[in-house]
Amino acid sequence: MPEKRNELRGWLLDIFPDEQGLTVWVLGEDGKRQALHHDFSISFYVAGTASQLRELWKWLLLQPENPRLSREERCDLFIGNISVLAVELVYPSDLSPLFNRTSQTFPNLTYYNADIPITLQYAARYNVFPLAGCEIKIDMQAHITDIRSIHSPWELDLPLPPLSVLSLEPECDPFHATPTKVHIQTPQARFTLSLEPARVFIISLCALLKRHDPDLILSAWGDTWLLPRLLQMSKETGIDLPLNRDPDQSIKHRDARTYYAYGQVIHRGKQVLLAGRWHIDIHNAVMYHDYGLEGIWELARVTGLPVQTVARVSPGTGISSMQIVTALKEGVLAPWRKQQAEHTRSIMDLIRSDMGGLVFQPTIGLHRDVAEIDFISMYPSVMARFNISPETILPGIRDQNTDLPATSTEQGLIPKTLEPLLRKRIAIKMQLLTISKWDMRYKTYKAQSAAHKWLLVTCFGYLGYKNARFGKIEAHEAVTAYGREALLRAKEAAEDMGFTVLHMYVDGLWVQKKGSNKVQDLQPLLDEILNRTGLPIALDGIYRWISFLPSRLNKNVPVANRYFGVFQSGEIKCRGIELRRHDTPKFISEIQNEVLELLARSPDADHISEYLPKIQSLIDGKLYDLRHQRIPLEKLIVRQTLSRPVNEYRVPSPAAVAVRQLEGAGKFLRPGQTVRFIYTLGEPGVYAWDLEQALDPKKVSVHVYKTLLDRAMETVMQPFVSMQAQPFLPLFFSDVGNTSINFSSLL
Amino acid sequence: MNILPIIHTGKMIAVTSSRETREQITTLTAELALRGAVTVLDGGNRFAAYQAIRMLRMRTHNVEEAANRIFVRRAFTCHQMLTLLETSRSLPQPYIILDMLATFYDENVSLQEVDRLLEHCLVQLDRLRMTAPVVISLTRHPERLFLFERIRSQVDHIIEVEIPYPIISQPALF
Repeated sequence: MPEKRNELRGWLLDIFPDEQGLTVWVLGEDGKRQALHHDFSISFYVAGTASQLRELWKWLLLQPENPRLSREERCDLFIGNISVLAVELVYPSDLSPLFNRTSQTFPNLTYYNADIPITLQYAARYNVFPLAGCEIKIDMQAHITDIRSIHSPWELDLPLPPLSVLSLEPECDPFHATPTKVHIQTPQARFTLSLEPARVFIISLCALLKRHDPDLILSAWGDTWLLPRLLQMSKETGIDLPLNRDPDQSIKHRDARTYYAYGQVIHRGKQVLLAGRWHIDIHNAVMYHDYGLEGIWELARVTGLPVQTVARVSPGTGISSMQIVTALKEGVLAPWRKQQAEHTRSIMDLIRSDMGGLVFQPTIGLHRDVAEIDFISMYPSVMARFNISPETILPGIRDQNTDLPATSTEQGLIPKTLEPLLRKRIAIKMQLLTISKWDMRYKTYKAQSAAHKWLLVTCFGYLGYKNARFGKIEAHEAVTAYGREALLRAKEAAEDMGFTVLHMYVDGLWVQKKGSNKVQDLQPLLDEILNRTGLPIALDGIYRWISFLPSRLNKNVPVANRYFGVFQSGEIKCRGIELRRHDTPKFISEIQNEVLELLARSPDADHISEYLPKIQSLIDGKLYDLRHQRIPLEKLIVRQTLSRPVNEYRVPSPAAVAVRQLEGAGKFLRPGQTVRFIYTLGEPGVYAWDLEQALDPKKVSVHVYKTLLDRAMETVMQPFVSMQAQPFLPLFFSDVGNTSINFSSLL
Repeated sequence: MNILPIIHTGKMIAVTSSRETREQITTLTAELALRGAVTVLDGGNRFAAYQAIRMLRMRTHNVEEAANRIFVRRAFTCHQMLTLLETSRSLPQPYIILDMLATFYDENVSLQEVDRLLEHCLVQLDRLRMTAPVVISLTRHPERLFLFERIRSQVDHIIEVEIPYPIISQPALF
């Protein structure tokens, strides 16, 4: 399309504050990357008593940033309309220093919109988003006068700009050994360069950066090792390395940090962020293994966060950003620090309302022709359908008909934020059901669906998260109350229609009915559940057979969400077994997976015994390989995440011993980081994988790995052994002194 | 730990230990609930509601009636703890501030800020004790010991509870 003289079309790549406003990097339809300027005033708001605000007003008038001041009526989500002092700044870069001084001088005031990322403010004001195709009006000085997105982030199949990518990958994990070479992938070629001599390497890399001018530098260990090393080499050689596309900006560094979230200690490595182009470290990007770059693009679009940022932050930050954008668009203030406290209630009320998700323990054993049905994004659907949001929950009031927490009728901030995301997720799911796996959109849809899933999963947790700006514990509890009610109604519907409910877990049911083993047999049940709950529900699949496993400690006690089974399609699904655990060595998980695949070949549960000789042979072969050091050491590595500093371990666990070995070699790990080790013979019984000296394979403890294998095999074979009414499995498997496992004796 | 005899209006009592005092505080809450209304302001999300009910069941037939006399509010940040105190009415019924400093030990909140917030909290505690006894449970944090000392200097009684460490034995993996 021909461009008008002062108008261009292109994709929004990056936005950051400069001294006079904002720099907006755009990739034009003509392939040209250019930096534009945009004037962008920004405001924060302050609430307090009239005298406090008067005093603040006088103080602000004396500040060098020369803010524009006014009194305004604004909406606090938790309180309603309030009178605030609006502090407007012409240059966004002035906000942070002025706000820091203000909050230190007047700490007792309530502040709003004071720490919102500039990209979110921009997204809310102009309705644009990262990677959006835009029509931009500019003046003769390349200043933006207007910007408009030609797409909505909620559309399917949004066009992606023709991005240029340069990949950099050291030859090995820098924590394991010091790399000497870097593998480089340009849009045209892949080659390897030696890091020494430094001068030659830096000159070569400079040439590559200038020639390809990448929009994205995709690195392995780029945040934690490679880019800091390259910058150091650049400094030592005196050769300027143009990692930044924008020459006026400096490279931003963020420190590593450890934090506690979702019941885990999480470590995020230090970060290196570029201006004008992006840097993504695949080992420091959140969920990269799950949704890759396609997922990151999608997250940037729907959250409004910059690409480099969204790649590194948790999905919780993503959903929080979406809520902020909604709030800004609606004129609702985003509090700097949430101060709302819980309402008073008796402990009987607390117990009644703070119960979490509903679990109906499974019937232990092997079951045939079982259907698994799941509510689609249950908690987000509950929030959207029943209008659950911090401001809509009516404290202490219950619906007279359902005895569930009552909500007001006006659509709340959270449902408003979630609705388009839920719609897009369902639309993508429908597409995935209809298109072939070979369709070029399939991979993109899968990645987008995974990205959406994590946003939706965390949106529920964020309602109860202490630092969530728009969180409220009562709303969080209300969601689970509605969820429990929906699951109970689904159970009633299933039982009314003659199904046996074998297991229920928060948002899913496993049901069985003689003769109901086809998709169409389940449709009336799905319709009935939708009718009774108002929530979308779908058939996840029908299992040829499924085994619900008991507790390891007491074989009569069922364990929720610990099972494995084979769908009619042959696909295996398992939860809570060794294969799913992050600390299971690959050697074990691969064998368990192979055994499951062999079992999955059986047309039904009655023919499984025919496959046992093959399983026997597989295990014998693997144990032979283990005894004769034929298993690559990498497959024997155990990975454990440190939950605390090593000096706080009161019992020398294998992980703690391995960390101490690393510390002796000058390598230090922080809580949230993963320690890798191999079980060895004699004392201390483990060898840290990242020690410089390679481990002698003869030192591997065959006994320990065989014990782990026994356990993994016990998990998957136990239901079939029980089925054959044979003596109990542990009797056999506990014989760890033997170096072979004999299945035939079981049957 | 029997502090019932020293609980009086106007008194602020700190219960401290090198380890958490949840069980002791739950017992105290149940005892107080047998006598009348009691409000627990929970700073560490540690109030053991089920345990409190079990304790009531051992002491009375009217479990629900007694349980309905225990009121709970939780704070998940130190700012919320201040809000809790500011919005708690001065009532003639005991207040128990459970694990009051837990949220003040959040390393993401600056020392200056927690110091300021605690100052305001102490003003509120003084207000509350004018009409009812206030019991505060506290744990120490080696890097923010000044917060603990600050409260200790304000209270009328300090009760140190000795809780023996359980003997930890790691179950054998193999």
